[in-house]
Amino acid sequence: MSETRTRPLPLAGGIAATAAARARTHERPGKTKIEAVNFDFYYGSFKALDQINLAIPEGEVTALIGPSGCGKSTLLRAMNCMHARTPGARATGLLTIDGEPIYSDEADPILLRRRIGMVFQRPNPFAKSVFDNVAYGLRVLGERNSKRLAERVEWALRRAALWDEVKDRLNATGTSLSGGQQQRLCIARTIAVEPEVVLMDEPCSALDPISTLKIEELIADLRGSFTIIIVTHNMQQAARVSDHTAFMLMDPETRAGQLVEFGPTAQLFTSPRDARTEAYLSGHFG
Amino acid sequence: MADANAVPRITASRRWARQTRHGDVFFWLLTLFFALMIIGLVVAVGVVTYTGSAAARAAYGWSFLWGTEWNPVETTLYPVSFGAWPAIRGTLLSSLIALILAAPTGVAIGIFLSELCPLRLRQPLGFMVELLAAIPSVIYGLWGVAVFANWFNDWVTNPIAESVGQFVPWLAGPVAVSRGLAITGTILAIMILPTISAITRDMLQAVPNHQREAMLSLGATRWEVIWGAVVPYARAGIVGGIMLGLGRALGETMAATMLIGNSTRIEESIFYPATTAAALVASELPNANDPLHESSLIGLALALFGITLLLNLIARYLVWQTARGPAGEKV
Repeated sequence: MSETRTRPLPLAGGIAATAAARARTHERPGKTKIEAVNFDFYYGSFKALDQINLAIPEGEVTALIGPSGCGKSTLLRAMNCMHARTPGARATGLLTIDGEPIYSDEADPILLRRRIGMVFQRPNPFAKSVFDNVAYGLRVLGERNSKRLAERVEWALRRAALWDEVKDRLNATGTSLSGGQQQRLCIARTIAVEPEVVLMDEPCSALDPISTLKIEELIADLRGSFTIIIVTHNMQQAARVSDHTAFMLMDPETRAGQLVEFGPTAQLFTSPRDARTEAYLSGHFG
Repeated sequence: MADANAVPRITASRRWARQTRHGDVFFWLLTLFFALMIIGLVVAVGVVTYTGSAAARAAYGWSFLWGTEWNPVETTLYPVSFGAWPAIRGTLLSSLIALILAAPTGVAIGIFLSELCPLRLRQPLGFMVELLAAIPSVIYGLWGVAVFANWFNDWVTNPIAESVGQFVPWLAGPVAVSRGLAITGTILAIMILPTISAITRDMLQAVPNHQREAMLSLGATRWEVIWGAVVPYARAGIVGGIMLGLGRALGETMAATMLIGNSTRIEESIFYPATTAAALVASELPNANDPLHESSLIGLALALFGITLLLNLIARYLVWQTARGPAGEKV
């Protein structure tokens, strides 16, 4: 083995320490918000997710981690039917929100997405003003009263820790903000409609460390008000922000994504039950 | 065992040698030459039409543009006179009709092709649209005369002229021949439709997917996604496509000549024969023996040149305006 492959363990120890500290403050049993039971997902004939079983607790932060191609984004996007535009995408098994199946003939993806908001990897504000960016979802929901719109927009921007930076330029284009501000704008846009769940698909991967820190603080602040599910490449981030962590891996033979281990973040980082989790956390692959 | 750190050797004779840059200079000059040729062509067209129309400009001055009488042959009732207004008016009106009909339709087709069309249909339909753009205009004219004119007379012109036309002068009948502004504008609309829809489709397909996803994730319906995020993002390009179509309609000669009736009388109703600048030049220039007649036709060409230039500038301005507004990434 070459020397560079083996990383010293203190890194993992550091993560574990942070996670343990978080766990002490946030240990409590929660109601299940989203649950996957024997959930499979296909792109055409390719099986991207294989037998996922997972219960995501309400009001807490759950992180999905794993190496590239392990299906964590696929799983996240399955939760709000974002694959609907992809030809050949289909799901089997059960995926539920509050016990109601997400994939069924009665379920309406549009109504579902009004309950499950999403923040994307790259900040994607609309080519509209800051105000209209946040107000858009509210208008989609049918709010026409301009006073109530303004109140809610301010509330969402405050909640996203962006109000002080943009209150004097609400009419500026959303795309004229910095990358970190754009991402907080997208978070404001998402929470403005008060979704029950906020999905975050690597929300900091395009951001600098300071903006990343602000987003992480924001996640901590939003915790409790929303059920947050965050996909991240960054293990330290998962340890810092999440209460529960799901570790996923791609099956080397079928290339399907599988859930290896799911548990409280502190436990998963300090004493992983699966040898593969331990190997990943100590930097052996991925 | 070979040293794993040894770098495989390559023949890098040019790494330190100063390169001669003849190739760069040559290529720069070549491309510069072609680029200048474009400017040269525009200037040449301007100069030729300007000098060629000297006699007409000397005789009429600016009033050439709004002179309403175009009489190349002297009769007892009308003296010889050349005024460009009937042709300019015909050009503008037929293009306006074409634009009103083709812009919404073309944009709708583009939206369908890009956003709503099932994947299986997208390729063949897109191919058909591009095929429509490739049909020579004389074929459109021929089809217009032989097939479309009668149908248009029976189903559009006469019903309108006999009902609304009784009260609205610009829709008035009676319509004897199936030649006029309205049918020309309609055929022009069909001709520019593929341009508008193909450009709209391309512009919409260039809209990044994350814009659609952002909209979808807010619980927007398909329509809201298209109208609220995708189309606004692409609007500068769509306006450009519409203007490109308008340019084609303004300059269209063959189909217009065949369908417009080539009458230099100004009639109020759009169902009556009229003429366009391009059609008038094309039909009369070969027989223009009188120097003033020839000069006036060239003056008309100059006017058409000016109109297209002006409209293109306006279009540029519009595109620039929408692009620098809150319209996303820099253009």
